[in-house]
Amino acid sequence: MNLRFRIAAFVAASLTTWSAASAAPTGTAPLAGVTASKVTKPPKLVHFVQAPYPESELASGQKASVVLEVEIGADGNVAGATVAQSAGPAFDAAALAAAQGFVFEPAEINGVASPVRVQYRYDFSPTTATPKAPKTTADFTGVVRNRKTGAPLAGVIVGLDERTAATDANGRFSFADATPGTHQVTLSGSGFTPVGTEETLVAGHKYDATYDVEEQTEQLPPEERVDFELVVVDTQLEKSVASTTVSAEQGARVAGTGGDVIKVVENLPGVARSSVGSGALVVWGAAATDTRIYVDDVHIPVLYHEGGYRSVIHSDLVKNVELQPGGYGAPYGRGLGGLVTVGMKPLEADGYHGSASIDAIDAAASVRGSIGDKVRFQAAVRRSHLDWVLQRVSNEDVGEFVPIPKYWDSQVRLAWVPRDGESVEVGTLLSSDQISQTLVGADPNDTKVENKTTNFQRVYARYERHLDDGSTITATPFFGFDHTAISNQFGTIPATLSEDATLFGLRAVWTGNPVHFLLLSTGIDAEVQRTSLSRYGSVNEPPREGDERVFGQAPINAVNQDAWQTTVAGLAPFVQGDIGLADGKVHVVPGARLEPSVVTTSRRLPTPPNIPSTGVAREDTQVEPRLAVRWDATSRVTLHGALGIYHQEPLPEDLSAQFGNPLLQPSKAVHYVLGAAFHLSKPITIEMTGFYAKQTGLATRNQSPAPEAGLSLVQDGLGRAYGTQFLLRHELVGKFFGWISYSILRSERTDGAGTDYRPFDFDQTHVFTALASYDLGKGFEVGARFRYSTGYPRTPVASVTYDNATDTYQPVFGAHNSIRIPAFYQGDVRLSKQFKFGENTSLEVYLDVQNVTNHKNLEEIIYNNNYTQKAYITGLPLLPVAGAKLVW
Amino acid sequence: MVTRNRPLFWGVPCAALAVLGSSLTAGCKPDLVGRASLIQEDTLLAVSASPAESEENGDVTYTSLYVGPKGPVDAASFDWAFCDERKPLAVTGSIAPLCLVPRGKVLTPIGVGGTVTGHIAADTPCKTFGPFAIDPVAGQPTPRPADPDTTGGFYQPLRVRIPLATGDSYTVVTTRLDCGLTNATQEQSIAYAKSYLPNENPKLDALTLTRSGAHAETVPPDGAAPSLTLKPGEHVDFDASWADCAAKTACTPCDAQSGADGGTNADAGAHDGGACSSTCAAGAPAGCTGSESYPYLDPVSHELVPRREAIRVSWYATDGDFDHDRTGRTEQEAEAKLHTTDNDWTAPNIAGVVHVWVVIRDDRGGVAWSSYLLNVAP
Repeated sequence: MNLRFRIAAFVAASLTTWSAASAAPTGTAPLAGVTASKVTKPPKLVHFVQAPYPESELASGQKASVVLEVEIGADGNVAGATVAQSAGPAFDAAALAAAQGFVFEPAEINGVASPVRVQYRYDFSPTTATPKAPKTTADFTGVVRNRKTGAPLAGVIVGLDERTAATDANGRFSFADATPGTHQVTLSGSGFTPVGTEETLVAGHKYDATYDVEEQTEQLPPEERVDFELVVVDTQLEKSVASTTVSAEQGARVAGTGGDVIKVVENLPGVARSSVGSGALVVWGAAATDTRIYVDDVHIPVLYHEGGYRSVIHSDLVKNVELQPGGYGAPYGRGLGGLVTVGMKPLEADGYHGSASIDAIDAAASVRGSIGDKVRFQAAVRRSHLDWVLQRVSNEDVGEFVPIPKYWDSQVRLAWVPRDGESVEVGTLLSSDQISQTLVGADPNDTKVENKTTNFQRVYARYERHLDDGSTITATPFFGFDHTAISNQFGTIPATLSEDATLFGLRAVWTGNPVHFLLLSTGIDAEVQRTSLSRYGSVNEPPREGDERVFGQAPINAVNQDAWQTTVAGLAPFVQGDIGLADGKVHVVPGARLEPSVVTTSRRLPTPPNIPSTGVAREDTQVEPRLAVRWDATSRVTLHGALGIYHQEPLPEDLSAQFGNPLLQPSKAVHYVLGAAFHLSKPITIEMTGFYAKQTGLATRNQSPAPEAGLSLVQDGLGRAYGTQFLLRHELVGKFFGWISYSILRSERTDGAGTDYRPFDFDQTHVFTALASYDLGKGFEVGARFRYSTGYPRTPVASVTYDNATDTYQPVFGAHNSIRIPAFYQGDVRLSKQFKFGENTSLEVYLDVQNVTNHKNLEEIIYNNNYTQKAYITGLPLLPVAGAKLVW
Repeated sequence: MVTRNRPLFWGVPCAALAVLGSSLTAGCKPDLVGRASLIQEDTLLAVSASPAESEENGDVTYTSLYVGPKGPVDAASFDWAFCDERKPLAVTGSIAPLCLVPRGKVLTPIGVGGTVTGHIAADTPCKTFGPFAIDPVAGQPTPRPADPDTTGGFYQPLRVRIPLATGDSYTVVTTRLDCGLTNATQEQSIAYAKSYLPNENPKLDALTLTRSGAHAETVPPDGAAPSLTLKPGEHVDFDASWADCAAKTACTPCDAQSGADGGTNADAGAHDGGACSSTCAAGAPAGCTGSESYPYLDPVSHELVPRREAIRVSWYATDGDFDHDRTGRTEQEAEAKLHTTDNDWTAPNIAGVVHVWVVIRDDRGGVAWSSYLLNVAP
């Protein structure tokens, strides 16, 4: 659980002149010998040593606190420690021994690293030594930091209802044994305007809150006051051991995303770079259709609009976006690949707010507000106008030569909050895409037409309740439609595919602590999809993964037709436990998912139109055990591992009696994940994750020259993906955030029984992304991104044959996917300036420049008419996109 | 929901660039040099089958058009063989890869030379390559029939192996099979049988040449010496025409007509719809040498509908520069009685004799050509 609150407030204290004297009340002793100097940087504990509870005191079971005076050298090591307040010899000895192992970032006095002496209170609790009774309370700790510098703020008074605690020299505070339920949390202190928020604490949980406060060196006028941000992290119930979450605030500032929060997914480790104009989400070498996408428990079919230029959800609604490339837990399934979950911001009753934005590609607007305290709403809409822009800036009718995506999306949310901890929300998610292009050639066979329409609609309701015992209930039923219509024409060869799906889903989850060491999550994940499809054209169009072809190659002039209906229904109960061991240092997360499913197809075999068709139904049950383990080996090192079994029902389009196989069974994948995270310092983490994913039962084309009727696809395909991903991440602290991700992986497939593994069509061996954003001050911000990736594999043309009927040359292919498009690299830069008008209104103007070096990236291979020459289609040259966003 | 990861055509990036102005729109898709219409080496331009459509157990004569920079080239080394295996669904080429070899158990040799006559096997082609399923192995499900092309046709493939110094080169030739109609109602089958004519090879009726500001001149075919002279670098417009076929399906067997006048309209039946033909009952070509109409069982609507052949014309010359390598008329244009197509040509800057070949194809597998000689002189 990751809760984020934004509070309209500001801090006016002058904290940069933090002095030794002012720090004393928080437990830091006067600096030795430098009382007349200014402390320009306080010491920071970077390595903590846990003191064991003295065995001699176990019988007493008492809590104890030892206050130490710790002398820290200029190198940050502990030069000595003495007891300032004793709790008894045994406790004193244990505390002193532990303190000797502390390591600090040295303090600076007048900018120079200097020795200092600090007070440190060591609290002992018999929790590690005596059997615990079920814990009925929660522990709430945290840190208050300067938002811009990340420096801890001492002396801030944190209130938890009636209890208060002052932050120490490290900016930390602690409330042990807090009563479960919703509490008022306040921050106040000298120079502070008191601020407050609510926290809901669950029994048995440990919460670690981070309060980032904008640094103010002087009293600012109200219009320049800024929000500060509170982040509360519940340390239990990790969804996945290989998960990356990006907050909306960070995502919107990444260069190359055009301010689109969800676009940041493309920059996360394990994600292949998609071709320009594609937007395919290939995660850990899995097909794009194998990765499931959810928006607050509502399943949606795509993450991006056609072409990949925008996501389908307005950024104002997004709280965060999380990518779990594999090894995720039992609450989710039905996909062989990764999992993308978009979390929506909670609706607040804090007045009316909104935004309007525009750039060369589209325009968008959103508004949110409340009616009283209990009813809250939000609505957003976006529409592309790239086609309109092109018509006015180009002398030619560009649309005749290139497919210009036209899209719109809209979201509406209405929430009712009858009381604290309970809410009911209903909403809609709508998205529509259209691409239309006609290329007319002098040769009738050179005339090409492409029309594609895709849209989806979702209506959902979400009930959420935080109970007094700390447990949580959520239930999200949703209903909707998916529509896809492809109508292509290659000369005289048509390729049409129409797909209309009606979808009903329900996700209901209960999370709570039945015993103190176990956080249990159990629920139901149900989905029923009925799809009507019709298809006419070549069996090779649309192409499948593994088809050997060159870019632009016309499909075979052999056509067929089918119209069929499918129903895929699954009702999956799941359970997942998070067992905290060794005082929370080890978490074992076993889970299981039982997926009974029914699949029906209206036509088992191709039948003439005047003969009734016979359908086919299949039912089976898949058992999917999952296990994740996480061990905080040291205060800085976390090791993790996971394995799980996943299944995915065949796509409705693959169940055609004519083009597919109505008897296809679910495909299966097994994920193995092993990794480690190194917490170098508070904002900096290095993660390394290795993975192996094995897929079986993949649908591939029937390789037989005389395939049986109804078996155009067979389930002989195998897949495997293995590799390692690295992530060096600097969280948003102060003015800076950024990360470097690198994935080295290999994804391979077979094309049927007895065939060798070959590279997956979207395999990318190396994917490197480095990005950063820096707040320059005065509203200016600069961001940069660099990407490198191996090119996609392609199959070489070994020779050609001349086709007399079509007067064209046809390629004869060499080894499958044995060559690659040259590697891609590109740098992007984003510069933005924010103007503030009053307390809540701001205008951001930005310039997002893609490919600043104007490097000619090679995106696809093309050949001349007889394949004697090869060349490359290049991607984006230097492309500046300017935009503006007004927020109020 | 269907997703496709590769765009059908490339261009969105180019479109985005257009926003910035023309200075940045260069690139994206590179221009590859080399023109199919310019004959710079020995090239097999076309193969014509006669008849253009054959029943099983029929003889078909194949004639090749093999040319080089100096004119026609001897094709005596051409090795012809029927391919007896259907290509797998996953293969995007036009023939089973197993047939692209000098010899093999799935090949039935036809002969060697520029013109050969092969015998379409009895019983099997319409199963292997047609709408009838291959006889299933005992106890096994029925195999999947082949898919027809967009005109409803099925084809017997053959391969021509051309031995070259650099290795063998292969050309794939297909012969349209008359396999009748499947998956149709009895009424549709009767109507189809009455109205369907085996395909006729198209034929160029005339090729005219129009100089700037002048009247069209007919270019005589197959001349031993050039009859027309053009100036170096002169721009002219070629116009190829073919027969203007009747709009309706042409053939009704005379013996199926009511009344006793069978045969009286037989001659008209070849070019004019509605009349009977004394030859179509025997399955012999009796169609039209232009864009023929034919009945087509629409697989979507399941109705028998009249269709028109699209016509494509390929242009070749040993020198000079055509605007387009191929031109033609779509089915809709043919329906609108458009039975000509034109192409601009720029004569070479160097004086000399230029060979020109114009190959005409209909979309039911019919192929024919005409050869021309032009003189370029100051």
